[in-house]
Amino acid sequence: MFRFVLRRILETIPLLFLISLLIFALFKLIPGDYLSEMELNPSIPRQRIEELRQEYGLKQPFYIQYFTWVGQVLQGNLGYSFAQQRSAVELILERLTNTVILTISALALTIIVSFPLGILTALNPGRGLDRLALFFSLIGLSLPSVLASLIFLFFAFRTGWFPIGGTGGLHHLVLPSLTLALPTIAFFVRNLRLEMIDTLRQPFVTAAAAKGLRPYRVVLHAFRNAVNPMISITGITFGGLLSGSVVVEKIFDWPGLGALVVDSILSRDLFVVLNCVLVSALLIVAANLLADLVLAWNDPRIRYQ
Amino acid sequence: MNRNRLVFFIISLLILLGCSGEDESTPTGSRNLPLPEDALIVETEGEVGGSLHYPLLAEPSTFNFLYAQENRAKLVGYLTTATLLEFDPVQHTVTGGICREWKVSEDGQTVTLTLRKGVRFSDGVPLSAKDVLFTFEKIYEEGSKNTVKDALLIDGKPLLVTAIDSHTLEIKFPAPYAAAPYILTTVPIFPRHLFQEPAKKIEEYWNLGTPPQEMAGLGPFVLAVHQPGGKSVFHFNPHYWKVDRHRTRLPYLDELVFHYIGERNTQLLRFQAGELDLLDHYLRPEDLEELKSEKVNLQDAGPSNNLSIFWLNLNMGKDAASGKHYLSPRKREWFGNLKFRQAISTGISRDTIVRNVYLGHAQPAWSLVPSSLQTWYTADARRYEYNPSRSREFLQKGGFSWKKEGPGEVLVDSKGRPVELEILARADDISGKIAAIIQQDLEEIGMRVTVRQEELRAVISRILGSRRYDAAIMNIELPVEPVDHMNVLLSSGPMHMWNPNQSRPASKWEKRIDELMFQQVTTLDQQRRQRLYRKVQHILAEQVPIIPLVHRDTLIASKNRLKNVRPSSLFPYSLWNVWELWVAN
Repeated sequence: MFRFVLRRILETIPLLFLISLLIFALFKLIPGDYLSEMELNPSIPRQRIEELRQEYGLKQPFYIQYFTWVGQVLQGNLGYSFAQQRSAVELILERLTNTVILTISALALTIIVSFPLGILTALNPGRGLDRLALFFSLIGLSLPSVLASLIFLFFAFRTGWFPIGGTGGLHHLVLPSLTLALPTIAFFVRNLRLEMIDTLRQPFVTAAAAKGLRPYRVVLHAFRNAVNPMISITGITFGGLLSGSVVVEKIFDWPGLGALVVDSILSRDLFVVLNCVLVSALLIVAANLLADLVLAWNDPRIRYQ
Repeated sequence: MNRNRLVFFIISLLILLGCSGEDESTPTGSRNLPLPEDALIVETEGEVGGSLHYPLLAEPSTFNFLYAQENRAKLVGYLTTATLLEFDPVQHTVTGGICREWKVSEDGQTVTLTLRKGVRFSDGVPLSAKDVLFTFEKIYEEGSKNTVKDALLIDGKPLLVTAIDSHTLEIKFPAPYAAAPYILTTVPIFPRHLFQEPAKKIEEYWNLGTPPQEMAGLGPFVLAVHQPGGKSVFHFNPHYWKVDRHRTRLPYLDELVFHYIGERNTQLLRFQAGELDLLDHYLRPEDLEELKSEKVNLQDAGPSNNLSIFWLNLNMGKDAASGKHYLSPRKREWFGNLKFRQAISTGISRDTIVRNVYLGHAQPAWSLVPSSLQTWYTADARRYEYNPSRSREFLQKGGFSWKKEGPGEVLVDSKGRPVELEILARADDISGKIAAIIQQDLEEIGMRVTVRQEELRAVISRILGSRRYDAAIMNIELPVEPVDHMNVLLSSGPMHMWNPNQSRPASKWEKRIDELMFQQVTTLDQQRRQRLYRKVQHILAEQVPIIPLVHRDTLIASKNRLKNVRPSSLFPYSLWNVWELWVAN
């Protein structure tokens, strides 16, 4: 198990290297830098701006800047946020907590809604509930998250039941997590339904029923087999939720990593963007790893392989 | 562990995480502390209590006001600190603030200040001259790159600050300086007792991660909670040194909350939903109609110092790196032609911009300073009212003519070459609309005009860096005091948009502007200073290196329950008198 985890972690290193190099190169291709906007402030002398450029290493050639940053990362120093005048690590950790809360809530919502619905629709194929669930899951899959966010914002504005944005208690979390979870719920319901229908037709399920197991035991037995692909998908979905959170966080003013990435790209806060992407990549890898571990826990056959 | 239990555990954990959103806190300071001996009496009245919710597009970069670069951080400084002298953005005058008295010597080189007695920082520690000395010491500290330092270096030399006694200070300027009192309005006073770690540099104090209890100031509010990227909550300062006419300690508000909302439309929605009480700087003209309601008070505070400008690239020289000219020979010829520039200024309808872009909430601009800033406004600067016929006359005098082309006609120069122009503008709605209007107006006088919109930093990089462009539109915010206009108006200035960083003035009129600007900095007679600055505006209007388009109005929407809202068109807009704002039940 340890070797498996270690191998997965080592595999991500070249990936992270390539991602960071790509972002660095793209940033350097865009004209201007974080300090350019200061040049429009008549109260700030040009000499001061040039001193800051020198201090931040922005005047050095691209490759020197990049490898200096890589060297610092290897020493545990993730750089400095120009916009917030402090360590990028502090900033990212603060925002990461909010994104993790939002993403896990959306994931939890996905599981809570889609698993029972997936099972119920599979048990009643072609009936009213099944058709309704399929119809709504089609809408959930085809609705862009921007549009879904706006619909929920309008709903909050009209009813006053939920705050329009910002952070606070659980009520602030409801609409952003629902928006984020909507396509995932739809996707999970459809997939789990198909997997369950397929599993329920398997001989071992018929045998279990024939042996006189209670119906809910039979369903649970089938579910444990049908859920395996869903566990693998959950790892991948986590990445989708993370990237989806960029839009949702921005629209609902949820102060997470996604909103920070957008603001940092716009303000050319280079090190924050780089580190946010690295952290997100690590999170996705960790989520996939966790999904693999859960899969192994749920299905002993995988452990023996 | 049983699988069902595990699922239950995960769900419970998620709910707990969701509930642990914020550290709500209520103001705990006492409203009954003894008033300072020398409390400043403000002619106002209101009721104590209540909260004000106000949006900002993003959180400030720092809580250390010596390092505040942008208005958001300066606004936090405005709430939590006090400067030696205060600038009144409505009357445009310098007032005492924490100094009971201040006097400028006849030679203009010494300012004597007397601090108010009994003034305390928000943590209860008394203010003394030592705090002021400490602040100046930190501002001038070797290697410090704070944003206040540059304004406090006169000809590169620092001010000499001495304490005569515990409440009297003398500040000597290295040379006579016209804006001596004004620059003291930029010096916030630090509580010396909270900066006692010898190994720590001043810039390491008070960043966004600093616990609020480690901060104290002389402003009307103190930071209570900062939720990164979400909001900052400020509570009233129980030791504030301003009182109303009934000797009730200000501020009236118990709490002020800044919400960091990155989208203007969301700000609008949240205001309409009752989650915000006040919108000002970010309010767009088109939002006013949307907000009209009995519960909302809409105000237009008049033209602000936010100015839209248009100019032609006057970089006639060569790029040192490539050895090539910034402009083609024909464009150097056209743009260097005064009649061509005057024709363009006359050919642009500022009224159309006011009407179509700002829906009437702006003022046509004829000089850099808005009419609301009467001290420096130049009412008699030459005006180029929109008149296409007059514009054609200018062009004819400049050697241009028109050639029939299809159903219309095209403007050609003396060598028969068609006049083509590319306008560089920021990729935003306002700049795009202004560019489209100018394009249409100039096409009417026969020019071929295209518009190129780029992201702000790319535009700046092109204008001040590569300098490869024909003409540009930009929105700038000029400070209220002309000493701060040097970077824009001096030929050597880095913000001398049309031709920055000249080693020596490229023209006689730019040389004259340089002389006048240097004179106004050292002239102590205010009226003479005004005359000198107005001469600069006259030269600019005659030579048209830059075409002022419009000054945008500052618009304010406040909930009716919020009282004493008397906004200024200048920063900090409706919060300039934040200590007077109060909420009616």
